[in-house]
Amino acid sequence: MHRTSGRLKAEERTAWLFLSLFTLLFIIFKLYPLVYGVAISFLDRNSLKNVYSDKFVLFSNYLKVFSNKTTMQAFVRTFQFSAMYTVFTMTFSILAAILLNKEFRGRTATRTMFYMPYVTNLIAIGVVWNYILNPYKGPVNRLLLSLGIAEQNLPLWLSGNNSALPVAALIHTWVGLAFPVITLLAALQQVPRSLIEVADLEGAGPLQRLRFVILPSLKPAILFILTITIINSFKNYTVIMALTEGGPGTATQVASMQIYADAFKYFKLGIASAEGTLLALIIFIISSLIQRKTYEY
Amino acid sequence: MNIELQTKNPKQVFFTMVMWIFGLLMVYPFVSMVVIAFRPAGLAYRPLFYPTVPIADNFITVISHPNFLNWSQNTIVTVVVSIVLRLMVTLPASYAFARLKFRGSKLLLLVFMLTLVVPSETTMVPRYLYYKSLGLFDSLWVVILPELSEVFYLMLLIQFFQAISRDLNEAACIDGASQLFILARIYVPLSGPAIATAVLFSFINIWNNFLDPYLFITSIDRQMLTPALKYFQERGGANVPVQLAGSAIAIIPIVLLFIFTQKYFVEGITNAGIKG
Repeated sequence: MHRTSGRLKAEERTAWLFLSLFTLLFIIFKLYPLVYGVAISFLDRNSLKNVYSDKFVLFSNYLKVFSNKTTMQAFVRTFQFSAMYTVFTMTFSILAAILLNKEFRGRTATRTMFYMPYVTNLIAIGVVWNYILNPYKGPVNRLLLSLGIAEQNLPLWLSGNNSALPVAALIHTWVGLAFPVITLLAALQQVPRSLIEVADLEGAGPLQRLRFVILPSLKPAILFILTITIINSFKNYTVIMALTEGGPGTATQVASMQIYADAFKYFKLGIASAEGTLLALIIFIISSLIQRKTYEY
Repeated sequence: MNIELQTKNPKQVFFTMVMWIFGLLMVYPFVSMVVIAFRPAGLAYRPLFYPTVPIADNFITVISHPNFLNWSQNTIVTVVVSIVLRLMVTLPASYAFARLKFRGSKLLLLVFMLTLVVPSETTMVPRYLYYKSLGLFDSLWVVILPELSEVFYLMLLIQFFQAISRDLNEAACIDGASQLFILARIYVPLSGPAIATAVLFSFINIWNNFLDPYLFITSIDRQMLTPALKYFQERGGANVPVQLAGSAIAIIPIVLLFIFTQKYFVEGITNAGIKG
């Protein structure tokens, strides 16, 4: 008895020794910035220099954020972007996974092509998509022009006030397809063959098979990628920076771009921190709500 | 044999063709990136198959930029140092969660997991002020140190370690081996695939990291490749082929690495997905 507890104590010491570096670095570089951000959001801070004479203003920064129309529009754009990204990603990844699961010559190479954008650099992707979608000379609009679409009707893609945000969401979807497709392909391998055979024997067509056999057995995987997709949908700063830098005008000025502008262009650090804290809080609440829903299944 | 038969079926031939077209559409941006990067600026917007004599001038412009060597070196050093230190920090921590009993282990893991959902852009302001006051600005450590406590890699290794048989621990304990010995001599050698996956994902993520170096490294010669590419885009103005040449240089190492290590890439994502 005594010996066991002694061994447990030694084990506990070893455990903390093993954990110490990771935990320390986590506290310094992950946890503390979060807490510090909340702290600054209560201060009237207007300089990038470290001065410690800032006034404590309680919720005044938050009130300013809520009453600022530009900022609220930026938050709305973040949710629009996230909603579009989520819908696009779920639709295209389920379709792609089902198609890539069928046997055909060159399947491995085709899969590689679907995964490739995931590993590449978003800034490089921004350069090339701006080239491809150039409204005046780009290959896509040149193709549309040759198909007989009138010049004044050509879409402006990333330069259009209404099209920039959806196009950016679509390109972000293209970038991130690998993760959900690989997850769904793994899940498809676990759909029992016998179930599919029974459906075939019962005379189910391909659509019925999809609706009543494949999609229900994919449900846990679909819920999992839905959670990850929604969380990822808020990581939009780099992709917007690469594609449009918030433009044209403010068409793609999402919340993270607004935080950057308020902090590093206008030096309203208290307000920018309040925006960051608010955004983090919203993302946190949304993801815990989905996670709770997911665990119900 | 099966595939031979299938390809003769016209429906199957059609399906195969459609899938190849989808695949080619997925990589079309990369193909055009490379093709146009070999053209003079005046021919950038001619069709993809427009016959031109390929020129290397754009690549030479990028490579001969006075800071190109610095950027590449900074990127490679950051990636290598981050990966080595990450493994040294994360392997023991993952082992502690997977195999050692200690009070508060569930709570600690929960705290780690909770921060996983919060994107780094929400904390740009506090991190900017805090890293500046720590004196980390303009040094590669400002990118490396925050990478070391990424919870994604902790979870990846915990899951792998949990799949290793506990019998090995018991046998080693009877022989009087310390936990450090068990970790270093039994668990790490058995974890080749998981470590390969961690290295691959680290490589991709750190190489492509834009926000952190963009915010916290202000001297152009201390910068890394990805943010430097953004400067190129801004300063390069209208010279599209030069920008595309820079982009191609920045993605080619990653794409090559990915093609040769795809197995670990797929395994890493599959493991994250199934156990989630």
